[in-house]
Amino acid sequence: MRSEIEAILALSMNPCADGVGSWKYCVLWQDDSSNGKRPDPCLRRSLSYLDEVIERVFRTELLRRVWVFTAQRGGYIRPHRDWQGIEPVFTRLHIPIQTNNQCFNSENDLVYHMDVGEIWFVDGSRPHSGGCFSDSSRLHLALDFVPQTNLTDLFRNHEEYRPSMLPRAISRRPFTAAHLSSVYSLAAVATDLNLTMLLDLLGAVHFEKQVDCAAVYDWLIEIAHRTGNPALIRRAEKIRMAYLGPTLLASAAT
Amino acid sequence: MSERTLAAQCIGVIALDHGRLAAEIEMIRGFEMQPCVGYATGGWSRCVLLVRDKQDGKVMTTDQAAALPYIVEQIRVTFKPELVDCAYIFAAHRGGYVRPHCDWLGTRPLFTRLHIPLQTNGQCFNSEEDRVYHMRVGEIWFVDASLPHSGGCFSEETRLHLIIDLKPGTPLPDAFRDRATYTPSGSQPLIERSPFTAEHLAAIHGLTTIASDMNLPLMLDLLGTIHFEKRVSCAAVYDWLLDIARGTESPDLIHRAGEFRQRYLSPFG
Repeated sequence: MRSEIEAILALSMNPCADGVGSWKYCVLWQDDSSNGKRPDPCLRRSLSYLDEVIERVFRTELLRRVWVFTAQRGGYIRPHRDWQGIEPVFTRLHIPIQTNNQCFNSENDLVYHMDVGEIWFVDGSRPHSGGCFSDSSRLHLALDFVPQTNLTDLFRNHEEYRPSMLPRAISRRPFTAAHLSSVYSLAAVATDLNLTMLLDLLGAVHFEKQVDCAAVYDWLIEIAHRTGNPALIRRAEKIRMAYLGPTLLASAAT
Repeated sequence: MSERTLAAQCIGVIALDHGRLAAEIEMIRGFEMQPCVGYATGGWSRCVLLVRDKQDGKVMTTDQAAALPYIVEQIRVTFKPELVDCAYIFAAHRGGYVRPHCDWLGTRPLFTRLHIPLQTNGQCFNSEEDRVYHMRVGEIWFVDASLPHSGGCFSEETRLHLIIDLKPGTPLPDAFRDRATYTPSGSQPLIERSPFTAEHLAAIHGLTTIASDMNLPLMLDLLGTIHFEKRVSCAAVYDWLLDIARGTESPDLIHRAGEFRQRYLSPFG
């Protein structure tokens, strides 16, 4: 595993427009018969151990894409849904291959940690985020299977499917009225120039405070309203639409 | 625009062939650019074109430079080659900017830096202490990197600057093959900004309630942009960060905010 982690760290990673800081990705292989793309044979050879594990554990005939997501030093993905509406785009599993205790994932108002080797299903229809706030990098394999596949059916051997009943939620401090007040007071400095940086700062708050990851978009809209700038309000609403879609969330805790 | 003193100075103009330049800008779009980890944020990146070997003194040309014959030719015909130590392309877009910083402290400069914008737009700014300005395509700007400064692009369209590092302490007129190219403008137009008020400062200090080790760099990235729009020094961000950290009463956070200021404003102090 160690030598393949070295090989992954040497790969050219792509920044992601929705990623903050050093959150990056690389597609290891994808099965896209429609346009003739195939898994990169060189890359698969250089990661032969991971390839072997994936082949052994999962029904690769259902696998459409394998990614590596990397993050370090505050790199995280903005809270988002992967699709809007009822039709899933994929069934995604995360498998951490390197992590540390400053790595977090979130879903709505829960924050949790994935350990190395665990196989996690992530429901991309719900608002979620993830990142690493340590100097040491986090590496996750992300496996995208055919949408709406039963989780049991992803495994070659059904006995490998051993769901844990409850996620180990990270304990966080309450999100208070004082916190909300200081978030809203940022209206004094909010402009078109810095709105995305506000998003990036406030999008990380839920990793430490008991609040829904999606709340950041409500805060951004409220901040924009308080500036009295119609263009900024429209932009904040467009940002929420882009990341969460048209459905208003129950992040009304704010 | 208003007229005020700036150490940065437009010292000449290169009459660029926009057709040839456009073709090379297309090439640059395909380059794999390097992020500047720790110094820049968002979509700010760079690549090296030329670099002088410290051992044998020869200038090495990178693969990227080989793909940009017109731009490299402009460097060679404009500047005395024996004075050029490095050349880079700095790229920025979508809020990509370099955190306010000094490149050195004291009287011993590390280089004499020139910026030549190759592509820009109205949302691209440079700053020096409490002044903000804009560089236009083809202009040759001297930037005094010993003073706190920053720069970035807040548009979807990418800003591309050609950067030339001449030997430290090079007198500016001596940089050019043809001294007639040295045509410093007497005063520099500055970007008008709105006043920085007590209300702004209170909102910034209010961040104490949510400040943590996890989000301190994100605060720096947000607050580091404020000077582009408000009349305040780019270096003030480090004082704000220290105030915020002190407000938390966390010794670790105060230490870290102090480290930020030390790192960016007195890197070699």
